[in-house]
Amino acid sequence: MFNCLIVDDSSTLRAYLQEILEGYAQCVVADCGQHALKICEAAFRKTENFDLILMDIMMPEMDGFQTLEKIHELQDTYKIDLANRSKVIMLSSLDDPENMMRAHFEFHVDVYLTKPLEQEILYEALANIELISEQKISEL
Amino acid sequence: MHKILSYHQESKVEYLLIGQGIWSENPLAIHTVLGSCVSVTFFSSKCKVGGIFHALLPAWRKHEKGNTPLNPFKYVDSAIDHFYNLIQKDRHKLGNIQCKVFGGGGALLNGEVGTGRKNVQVAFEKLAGYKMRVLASDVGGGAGRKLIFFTHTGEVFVKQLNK
Repeated sequence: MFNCLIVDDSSTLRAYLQEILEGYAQCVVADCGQHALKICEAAFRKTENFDLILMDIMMPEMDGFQTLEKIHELQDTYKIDLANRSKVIMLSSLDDPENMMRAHFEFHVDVYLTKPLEQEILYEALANIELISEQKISEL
Repeated sequence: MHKILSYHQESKVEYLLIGQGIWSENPLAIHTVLGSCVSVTFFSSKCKVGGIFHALLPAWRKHEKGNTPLNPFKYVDSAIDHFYNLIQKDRHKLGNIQCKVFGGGGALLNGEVGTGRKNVQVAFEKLAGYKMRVLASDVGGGAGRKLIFFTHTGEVFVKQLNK
């Protein structure tokens, strides 16, 4: 089981992600960037961490990029070294080159997935960042 | 990673070289190693067929004269053009095509520095121009990648080479 923080303003998607990750991850959910920061700070203060952050981009007030930037600042503050930082999968309905390039080359996200999300594609991404076994994919 | 090849034993195994592209109607497990090069996979979930290329450089017109490149799979732009044209011929049969983009990471050879990002950018722009949806991308970073693509399922397994 890995620890996962889901950040998305859609309650439907949060519920869907929790459902498809059941049995693989212990999920904590945040409905906005500010909420995610509070959850991260509380975890980092207790020297806990998330193995994975699933981050939406388009959210009111603070978007996914701004939230990731603030999370990186918190990780610096709490001296979490690069090797121990959460893997990040960005999950967005934005499929334009600008946002995808920004996510990969400015924010160094591990994987970018576009919505609508297919369960198999998420499992494949999780296998590729070594959070679940590839065997799981072959059994689907 | 070789264990993955056994998941679909009906698939023949092929190694994809730099500057090579494969489209297959039969199950193939295609593997390759990417540094700053880019691979794009194309998959029709309707027909369970797909293809992949392994391109070295972003744009053919910067390197060749004439009307077409000698080898379209050497360049990201002409490789995507090639697959787009191939898919268009059978678009009604194939239905929607799922694309995934990989690579553009650490250079494996001297002289590749900075090429990875440009390769990825051209791939994203070309695919967006053709309105081909990118379902997943795993690109950039300092490491190379080893990749296996199954043409009949669309699955792509990737491992970073520094691990």
